[in-house]
Formats: sequence, structure tokens, C-alpha cells
Amino acid sequence: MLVQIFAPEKNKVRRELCWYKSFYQDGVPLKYIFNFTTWDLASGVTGMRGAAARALLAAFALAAVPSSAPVPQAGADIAAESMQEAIDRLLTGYNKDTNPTYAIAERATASGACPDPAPGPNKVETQIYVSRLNGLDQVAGSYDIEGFFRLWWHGTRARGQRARGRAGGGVRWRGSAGRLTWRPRARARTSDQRGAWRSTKPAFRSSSS
Amino acid sequence: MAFNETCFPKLIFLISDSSPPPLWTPDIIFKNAKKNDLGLPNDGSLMEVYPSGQVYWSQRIRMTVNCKFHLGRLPWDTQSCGLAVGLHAQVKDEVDLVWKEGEKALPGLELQTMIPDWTIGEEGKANVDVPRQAGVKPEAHVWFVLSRKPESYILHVVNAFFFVVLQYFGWFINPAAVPGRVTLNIIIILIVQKQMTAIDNSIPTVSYPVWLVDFMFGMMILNIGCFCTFVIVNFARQADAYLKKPGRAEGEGHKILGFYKFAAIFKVSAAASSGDACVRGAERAW
Repeated sequence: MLVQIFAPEKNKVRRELCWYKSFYQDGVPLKYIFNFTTWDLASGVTGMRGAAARALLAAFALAAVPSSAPVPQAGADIAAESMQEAIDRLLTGYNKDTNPTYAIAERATASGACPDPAPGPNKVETQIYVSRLNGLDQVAGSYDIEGFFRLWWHGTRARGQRARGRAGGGVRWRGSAGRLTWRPRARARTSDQRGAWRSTKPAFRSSSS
Repeated sequence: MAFNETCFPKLIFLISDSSPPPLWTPDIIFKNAKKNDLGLPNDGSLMEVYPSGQVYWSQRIRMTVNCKFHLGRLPWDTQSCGLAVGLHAQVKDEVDLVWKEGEKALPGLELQTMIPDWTIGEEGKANVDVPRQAGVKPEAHVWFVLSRKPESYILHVVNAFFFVVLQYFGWFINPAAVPGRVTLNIIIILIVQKQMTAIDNSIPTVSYPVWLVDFMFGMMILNIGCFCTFVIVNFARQADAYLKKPGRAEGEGHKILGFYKFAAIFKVSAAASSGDACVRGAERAW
């Protein structure tokens, strides 16, 4: 039985339960296995009810950690590197001025033959998600719309670019430098001015990559 | 390196001012947009590339779009506003632009309940081929119906009607109370004039008749007509009083004969055009 625990403040846990530091490798909690919220070594375990039982459970959980938790390599961000690798592979020889239809033709003629059948037009689907509609001005004859402009298309050059990584992660594309730096995105939902976003821009910027 | 492909279902690019889209993108234009902020740098945009080659690009958009209002039936009018998305350089042989199949063109539109005075109706969409010199250009058109909530304008209509009624009630005031009646008339005319100005300012200058403007103009004509009638009646009363003035010299009659005749003619013509409450009031005052 593996007892799942919840540690809301991992730094506190790290500081106070230094003898549990095997829980962490390179600052990443491998597995939360016990409820530390009532565990306070500073006030002494003698003041706690069921301390012995808790210690027993903790010891049991500690024993379970090495077999159940992945062990990342120190100082390495494998997910980011993998995504970078995938992006590099995707963009090798990619000319973004060539539309997908011409790209098919180019690829076919490079192999010495015209494509058969001739490639049809690339279908681009679109949609506008409306998050706000206002400013109906019958004098000026206009209305304001705010939302998200969405496009879908199929790029054959991007096909088969499977790569590994962490699903749902984000990469900030930095052009040819290829520097990948994750940082949280924040957006002022009701801002009308670009400057308004700056006030909500998070101060945190990861430098781990 | 060995890795698990299933852990990495897609590539995600966050596009920003310093990192333009790394892949080919269609050159979209919004044909009837007055102002268009698409993918502002600080808004960023998202591009996802799937293993199948499917590319999804989402950008934040803020747009002011032209919409021609037809106000002939104001305040019981409905409007149809639209949006046309097209391609600038590519023709249909290369790129075909269509609305997302099986989905609404403008999802989220039905949730917009914060528009004062308007109710949003159903949307319609069409994929249109527009012949141009360079070739056929694909365009995606969408439109939605806006129905006006007439309450704010109805208030103007009701007010204008009751001011006319009030104006006519003025005939039951003693004709001798000239200052009071004139003040009542002028104040009501000014109020209706102000209402007309407010309505004129809320709509564009149009060459076709607008029901609300016509109605207000009719109310104004009735008010002015009522006031003019009172002026004439008051004039006739003064003429009558003058003619009946005791001690008037016999030979003086011819001096005011024309004046008297004018008043008498007005009395007859006013009676002839009966049916108007103002005229009947004028007769009573006479």
C-alpha cells in the first residue's frame, strides 16, 4: 500500500524535514507520500497524537519511493531538449514562404517527377471565437468584436514530427537561436490597450533552460 | 535517444513579437474591418503542430468592423452585420479558405448579453468565390442578426404624443391668460425640439425616411400649428375688442375695415376647415 500525501508547501517541508530530503532530487518532489500538514518537528513529535504510527507510515512510504518515482538526471531538462530537437527537425529545410500546395509540388519535382495527381488547394479552415461584442455604433456604422481568430490547415511538411516531451508544455520560439524558455503566459482579459498587459506581466522568468 | 512518442502529442509554439510564426501561414485579410488588431505582440498567439501535419493557429483579435445600418423602421428595426475573411495573395487553386466545418463560424456570439438595446439572433455563414484579376479568391462570409430593443426610443414617442395632448389642453385655459398660454406652447415646442435633436444625433444622416424622425416631425407640426392658431385667435380677439370699443368715431371704421375683414375671413375659413381641435378652440376663444 502506498500512502499518498499532500504537501502544500514543499519548501517548508524541505526545511523542516531535512531527513526526508531523499524525497527530493534537484528540487523536484518525486512523490508526495504523507500528510505533512500536521507534522511539526520543531514542536516535537512527542506532542503529536499517533506520531509513532505516522513515522511508521512515513518509513514505509520512503521505502516505496525509489521504486515508484521517476528519477530525473540532475540539472537536465529532458523535456525541453526533446521539444527543441523536434522543432529543429520540423524546421530543417522548411521555407515558410512556400505554401503547402507548392511544397508538395516542389518535393515531387525534386525527386524528378511531377506530382500525380496534381496537389489540390490547401484547405484552411477558420473560426472566430467571440469573447466580447460591443461598441455597436449606428452613427459610425460599425461594431467592435474581440476574441480569438483560429485557423486550421494541413501542412504536409510538418507530418510525422512525433517527438517526446511533456504533454501540455509550452515552448517560446526564439527564432534561429532556438533558445527555449518556459514562462507563464498572462493576459489581461479586458484590456483594450497593449500597455495594460504589461501591468499583469509576471515577474517570474525561468532561467533554468 | 530513446523516448516515448506518446508522451508528446504535439508541438506548441507561442508566437510573440520577437518570434514570428516559424511555419507558413495564410495571409488573411478582413475585408470589411475598419480597424484590425490581430495577434498584437503582447497578446501573443499560439501555434500547435500535430504529428499528422495538422496545424492550429490561434491569435487574439480586436477588430472594429463596418456594418451598414438601415434605420427606416427605427425603432422597430433589425440589422444584419457581417464579417468577410479573405486571402490577400493566394488564389483558390493554392489555398481554399472556408469556415470550420460542422461548427459555428462565430462561437461565443450567443453568449454576448451585454449589448444594450440589442438582441443577437442567429448567424449565417457562406464560403464565397470572388473572381479577381489574379484568379478566384476564396472568401468566408458570416453575418448575424441584431434586433433592436425599442424601449429607449419608445419613451421619445410616448413623450412626444403626451406633449401634443398637453398642448391642446391649453385651449381650456382662459384666452386672456396670454403669457401663460404662450409660455406653455413655447416650452412644449422646445422640449419636442430637444427630443428631435437627441434622435438626430443618435442616428446617421440618411436620405431615406425614418419612421421615428417622421413621427417626431409630425408631432412638432401639430405643436407649432396649435401655437400659430392661438396667435391668430388672440389677434382676432384684439380686433374684435377694438371694433366694439365704445366711443369709437363713426368715420374711423374704414381705417380698420381691412383689419376687421381679415379677422372675419379668418373666422370663416377656420370654421370651414373644421375637424381640427385647435380651430374649434379658436372659435370658442373668438
